[in-house]
Amino acid sequence: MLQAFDVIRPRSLADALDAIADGNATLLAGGTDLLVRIKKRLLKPQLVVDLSALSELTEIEDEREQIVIGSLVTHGQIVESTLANRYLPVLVQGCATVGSPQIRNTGTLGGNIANASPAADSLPPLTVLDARVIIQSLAGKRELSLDAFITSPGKTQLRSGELITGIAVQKMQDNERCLYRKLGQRKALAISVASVAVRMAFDPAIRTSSASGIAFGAVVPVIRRVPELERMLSQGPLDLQAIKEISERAGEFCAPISDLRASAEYRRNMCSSLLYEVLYDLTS
Amino acid sequence: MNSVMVDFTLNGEPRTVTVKPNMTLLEVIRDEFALTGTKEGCGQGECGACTVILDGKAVDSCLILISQVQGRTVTTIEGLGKDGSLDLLQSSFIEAGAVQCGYCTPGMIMSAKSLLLKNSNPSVDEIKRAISGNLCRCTGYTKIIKAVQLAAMNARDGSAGGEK
Repeated sequence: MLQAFDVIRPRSLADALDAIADGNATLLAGGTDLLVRIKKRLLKPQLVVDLSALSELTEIEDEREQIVIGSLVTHGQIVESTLANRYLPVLVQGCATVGSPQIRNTGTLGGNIANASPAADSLPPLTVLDARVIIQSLAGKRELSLDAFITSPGKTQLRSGELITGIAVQKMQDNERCLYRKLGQRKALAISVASVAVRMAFDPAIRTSSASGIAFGAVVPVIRRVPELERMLSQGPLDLQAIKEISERAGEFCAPISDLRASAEYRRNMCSSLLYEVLYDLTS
Repeated sequence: MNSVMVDFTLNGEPRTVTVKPNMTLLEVIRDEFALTGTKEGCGQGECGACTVILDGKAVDSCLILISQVQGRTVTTIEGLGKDGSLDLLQSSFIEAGAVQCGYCTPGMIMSAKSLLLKNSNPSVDEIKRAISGNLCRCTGYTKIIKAVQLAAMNARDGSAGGEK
């Protein structure tokens, strides 16, 4: 049995912002991470604010140049979404590797971002998509870029009384290709050992990329784009030799830790291998 | 700790419970309704023994707080059979010998059910993906996958194969 706490379940966003205004509440989105942390006594909430009635945060909306994903949209919803598959396929690939079907049907994108785990599977795709986090409180609305929002493992710029209400992402263009690849200890229910998301505008006729995004997961404290590697992608034709040289340098831009899943050295090597595979697939 | 009152549909019946707010859906199903088909394994969403169907989708009931099911529809293993006869998935699991110790079986069947609800002719890969959140330490999965294929086939044929 979980430790004792009270639960309130606001019926609207306005009520929710009221309920969390004093900063004493613990927010419950999907709960797949929160309940585990309460069970393990890593978190001892007095008051849980259950957001499950806020249906206004469960939609994926097409807003001309961008897609806005409500913070309570589940990973499963993203995987099945026509809009996400058409305009944000790299995010679909990331969300499809989260946990298990059951976890994907419950866990939310907003929750994944708020937890700010370096191994979160939605974060490398959202990073290469330059996602922005939409935040609301009684004081109003603000937006932060994802890489400014997350400050260190598990820590974000979310202030007391604030709630993530959505994630805004520019639509990918038709000439862009993308791929997310994750290495885990097995295919399902595995936390990433290392992962990479790559997005590039690629001209197959001249095998050249004009713009790109690269972000590694599970090997850096905070997932960020790697401009040094991105520049290398645009410096000439991406033949096998170029792909090999670029991916061999991946380890220079990672700062992995050793833990029970993998050693730092292995993770560094796997970043190179994953990047090689992804670039190979994207350019063939 | 104040109690919470939650209305939801459980196995087709409208239900209201007034319980402590720190109870999970799994605890309410087992302790308030004595529906003990749904099992607790790891309690952390890693094993899938507690899988139920919530609004048509498989979820881990050990990671859902009871307030989260307000107004929603829950189906447990007990809700599958009708009028004393087994669901096709249940009879297929028996026919294919997909049950050994049995602890994972209810969760496994609920994950398979959520697949068959949206896909009447799944491939082996789709079946594997659908049960990828359910651990079985006995069978090696082969007979479980065969059982799901059998249930899908029987449902498509409209046959009463295996039903008592």
